[in-house]
Formats: sequence, C-alpha cells, structure tokens
Amino acid sequence: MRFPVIIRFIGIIILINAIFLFVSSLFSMYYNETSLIPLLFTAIITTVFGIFPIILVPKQDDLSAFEGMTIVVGGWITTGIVGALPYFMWGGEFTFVNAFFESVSGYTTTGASILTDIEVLPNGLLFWRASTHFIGGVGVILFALVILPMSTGSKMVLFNFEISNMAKDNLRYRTRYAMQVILYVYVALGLVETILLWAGGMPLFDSVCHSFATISTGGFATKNASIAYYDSFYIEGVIVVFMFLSGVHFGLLFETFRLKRNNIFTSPVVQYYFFGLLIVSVLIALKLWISSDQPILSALRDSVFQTVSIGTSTGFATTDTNIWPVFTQFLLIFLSFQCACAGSTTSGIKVDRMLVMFKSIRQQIKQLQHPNSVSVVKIKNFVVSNDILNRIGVFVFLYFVILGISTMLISLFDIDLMTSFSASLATLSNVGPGFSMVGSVSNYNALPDAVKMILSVDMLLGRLEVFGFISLFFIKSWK
Amino acid sequence: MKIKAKIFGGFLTIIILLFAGAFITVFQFVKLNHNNRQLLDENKQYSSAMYNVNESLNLYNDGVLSLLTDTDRQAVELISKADSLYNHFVIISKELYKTEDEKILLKDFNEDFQKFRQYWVASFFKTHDLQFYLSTKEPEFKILRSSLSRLMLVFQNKLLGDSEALYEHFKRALTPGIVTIIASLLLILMFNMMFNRYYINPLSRLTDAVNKFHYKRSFKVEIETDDEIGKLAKSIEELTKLIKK
Repeated sequence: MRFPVIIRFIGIIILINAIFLFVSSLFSMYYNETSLIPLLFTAIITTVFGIFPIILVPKQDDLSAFEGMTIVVGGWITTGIVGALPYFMWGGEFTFVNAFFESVSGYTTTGASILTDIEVLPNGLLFWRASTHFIGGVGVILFALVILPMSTGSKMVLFNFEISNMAKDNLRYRTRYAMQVILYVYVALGLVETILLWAGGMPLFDSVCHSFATISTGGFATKNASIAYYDSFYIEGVIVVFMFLSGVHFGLLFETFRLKRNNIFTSPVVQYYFFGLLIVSVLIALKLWISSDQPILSALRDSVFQTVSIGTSTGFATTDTNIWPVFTQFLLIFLSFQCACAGSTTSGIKVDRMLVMFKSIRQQIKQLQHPNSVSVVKIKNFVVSNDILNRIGVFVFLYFVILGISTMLISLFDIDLMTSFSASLATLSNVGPGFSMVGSVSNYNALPDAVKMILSVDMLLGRLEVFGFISLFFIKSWK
Repeated sequence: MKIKAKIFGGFLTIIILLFAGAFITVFQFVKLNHNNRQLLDENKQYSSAMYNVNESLNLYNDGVLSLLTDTDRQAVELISKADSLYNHFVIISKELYKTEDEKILLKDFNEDFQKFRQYWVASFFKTHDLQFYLSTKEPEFKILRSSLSRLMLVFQNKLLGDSEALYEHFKRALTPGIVTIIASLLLILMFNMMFNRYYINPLSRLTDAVNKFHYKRSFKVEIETDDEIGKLAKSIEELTKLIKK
C-alpha cells in the first residue's frame, strides 16, 4: 500500500473543507466574532495539509481496491478531526471529545449534538456546523472527485466504496455522469429550499443553514428549540417536503425532472417509502389524538413532521417525542432502522433493502407451499438475484450485531437501556435524536466521553454502510 | 516540477504554517495580556471604591460619636473627610458599573446613602438628640448595608465572569500554539517519508541498477517521478544502450 498516494488523495479531500472554512471565517469577520481565529487558523492548516502532498507526491492514476477503501475511511476520519479543530479552539462546551463528536455528527449527517445552548455559538461556527452537513451529505470523497480532474480508474475505485451498492445498481449511468447528477440535484435542492425558507420569513442566514441540514438529512438547527422556534406552518411544510425529497434516490429525482419514464412516481421503492411514511404519520396522529387531548390537526402536524424527520434520518424537532405514547415511539424506532432510499444522503438499512426483504418473505412462503415452483423476488422489472438477497441478509444481520455490541458497551457505563439502545440506533442510522436521555429536545452532553467516542464510531460505521469501515480493519493482507 | 521547486514548496508550506501559528499565538497572548491588565485595573478600582465607601461609613460614625462628646470641630473634620471619600467612590463606581441594571443598583445605593446621611447625620447635627439617633441609626444602617452588599455582589459576579472569560481566552490563545507544534511535526514526518520514497530511494535504486549493469549488461529501473531523477534514469538508460552497441 502506498501511503504517500493515500495522503495525496486525503489532502485533496480536506482542501474541500478549507473552502468552507474560509467562507465560515468570512461570516465571523463580518459579524466580528470570537470564532474568526479558530476558523481562519483551521482553514490555513487544512490548506497547508492539502497542498503539501500535492507538491511532493506525483500524480497517480491507478489505485488498488484496498487503497481506495483506505482513502475513503481515512478521508472520513481525517475530516472528522479537521472539522473538530474550530470547535475545540473556540472552547466553550467543546472539549476535544465533544468537538470530535460534533464534527463527526456533522459530516456523517447525524445531527446529534453535545451543545446545551446552541444560540451562544457565533454565526461563523454555526455556518461551519451546517457546512459539515453539506460536505458530508454528498460525501466528502464524491465531492472531491467531481470537482478535481482525475483519471477514470481512480474515480471508479473511490466511487465503488463511497456509494452504497444498491444505489450503484439503480444509477445505471457512467460514473462521472452519475457523480455530476448527484451534485446537481444536491445543489439545486439546497438553493430552492433556501429561497423558499427565506420567502417564508426565516432570516437568510438561518435559511442557508437549515437548508444545508435538510438536504443532507443532517438535522443541525441554529436555535435551541430547533424548528419549533419559528412556529410556522409554512416553514415546517417546506422542510417536510425537502426532507422527503432528500430521502429519494437523487438519480430518480433527476430523471423525474427530465420527465423520463423512470421517475419517482413509477418507482416501487419510492411508493413504499411514501406510503410507509404516510401510514406511520396517520397512525401516530390518531394515537396522539386518542391518548391526549391534542386536537387532531395539531397532532397530525406534529406527527407528520416528526415521522418525516426521523424517517429520512434528518432529526429536526418540533415537539418532545419523549413524552409521546410508547406505541408512537416504537414506530419512530422502526423508522430509525429503515430510513430512506439508497442513492440519497440518508443512512440506515434503507427502504430498498427493506422492500426486498419483505418481498423475499413472500417468496419464501410461496417456495414452502410449492417446493417445486421457481419463484423470484422482483422489484419492478428487475429480478433480485440470490447473491443480492444474501448480501442484504448479511448486511442487516451485521447491522443488528453492531447495534447490539454498541448498546452493550454503552450500558457498561450504567446508562439506562432505552438511552443506550436509542443512542446507538440514532447514531448508527445517522438519525440524531433518540429517546430518554437523548430525546428530540435533549442532547448528548451528559454522556461520558468514552460513550461519545463509541457513538462517533457508530456514526462512521453507519455512514460507510458498515462493510467499508470493517473490512479495512479485518483485511488479511496489506499489499 | 523540478526537485528544487518541490523541496522549496514543501518547506514553504511548513513555514507558512509555523508563521501563521506563531502570529496567531502572539496576537492572542498580546490581547490576553491587555484583557488581563484591564481586569486587574478594574479589580484595583473596585477595591479602592469599596475601601472608600466603607471608610466613609466608619468616619460618619466616628463623626457622630465626636458630636456626642461635644467636640464639634473634630466631628466636622471627620464628616467632611467622609464626604470626600464618598465622592471619590461615586466617581470610581460610575466607571465600574456600566450596564443598565448595574446603573440602577448604583443609583439605588446612592439614594440610600444620601437618605442615611441626611436622615441622621445632618439631623443629629441640628438636634443633638441622642434618643432620635439611637432609634433610627440601626434600621437605616441596615438598609444601607444591604444595598451595598447587592452592589458588591454584582461586581463580584462580574469579576467571576470576567475571570472565566479570561480562562477561555487563555485556552484560545494556547491551543493554536499546540496545534501548530503537532501539525508541524506531522508535516516534517510526512516530508521525511515522501522525500525518502520519491528522492532518496530512487537514487539508491539507480545506483544499484548502474552497479548491476557492470556484470548483467542490462539496465532496468522504475522511477515514478518526472523530475531530474526521472530524466537522469532515462539518460543513463540511453547511455547503457550506447555502451551495449
């Protein structure tokens, strides 16, 4: 394995961060804030570390699969550390562990925060916090690859490890084109949402930050009360629509926009995703209406927002779900497992896999009833091979194993079971809020440092779809 | 890119980092020193203000006691000294209590103080009524003391807040320095690794290949870079081809 080559690629990745760090420091300069020096200094460090290997290491066109994987995992870890520096240097509630947790949470678009008071943060740091979502959402690596001219061979290797296998199967484009599509859709969604939020009375700065947090399905807000602060039906409506769209396969959104036949209205995965969220929203609203004296329309407003927020792994809040009935909490936990579609910025098991698994249950039952028949699992006209079914089965099993290990490790620190479980799930699926100590209006500050580090690893595992991260540490031969 | 330019570029990036780190650290410490001095000055002024107001209260007391023992001249002297100390306190405290809430508290205290002075110091001058003095002194004095305690508490909290801010500032001043040291060490390690891989090792390989040419009569060496070393390898290869002919 050629370390200098890996360092060169990671250098390019962190240069992307430098651009956003410079923009954040411009905000600090404009508002004359204490965060100027931490942001500017980190921008200088990242630029130096980005340029240094570009100067000394010659350009390489060929990358081995293992090198590609190391770049992706190394890139995420390095950006996590780089992103933590402005927080750590600024101080306040940010110890190094807290800063690293906040940074990883931002990049992995989890949206779990350690901050008890978000509003004391200077605007420069708030913008940086939202930027980590924006960079992380589309994948730091993917971002670097679209912008920087590199050979197709290197791109393929990196792309294979960054994008979920399911997403690749659906995307049927050439790699370069696919990456451009992802970026176009991402930026377009962000722009439109910013304009709509601004038009709805939200300040421009907040609109940009919230739009970054929505399209990346992150969930970092600029106010302590999250979206509830604005108490606006229009703003909640816009955010719900964009959270939903950000959970759809970006390639499908692009095709829909181009009025192609393969669009979001004909995709069975999107249909399952839409009706799933609709049914859960209605069920939660009914339960809230029956169990409490909340009017049905208000219950529906809360339930739709929270369902879409959790179901797309965003994590914005308009109400405290900790005080909701257990039945509704169970439904939200189910959505935290499932999350949204492959090919979007969400994590978790993903709707595509869930749909295949539900269909394979029916196929297995059919096979048992008629042992000699030949039955296959089909999604639209696409036959899901046994190989894919096996991979999905192993993925889901591994997902639960990691969830179990993480919950067990956290409970070692005498933290209650609901907190241990929901914090592990919320970070592994990159959702953000869990229940009990880490509820929708609480934060992760009270947890011990070791737990925060476990959860940071969970977030990285979730973002890299488990396999990418694990295979790096369990590979037998280091070439 | 030529080796000279690469090495220069490598060193330049390290120098930029060190310079930025040093500049920011020095700038932060200068600012910290300024804030620290400001805090010390405020603390000094506060001590002086509190000394003045306390001393002034004691002198009023002494002045009244002097009146009781019929030494009017000494009493007048003591009370005018107390007045001067109180006036001094008024000047200093105006600079110390800056926010609206603090100004209200200061105004309340000054009103209580004037009342206290008017009520029994000035009245006693006129009446010399010991009974009146004893019956009104205690409650008036208590009101004034509690008013003063509130004023002191506000400033102490302010000092505490300032000290915490100073500690935060100290951390902010120190961290860039530590980060610069760690980052520079990392860059130097990377420089060493890359220099060995792309400039030292190729030269060793080239030397080995030339040595082997003596007995193998074949020259084969792989150079990844397109700089002087790469060109040297190509030239030697051409030379070996000529020799073989």
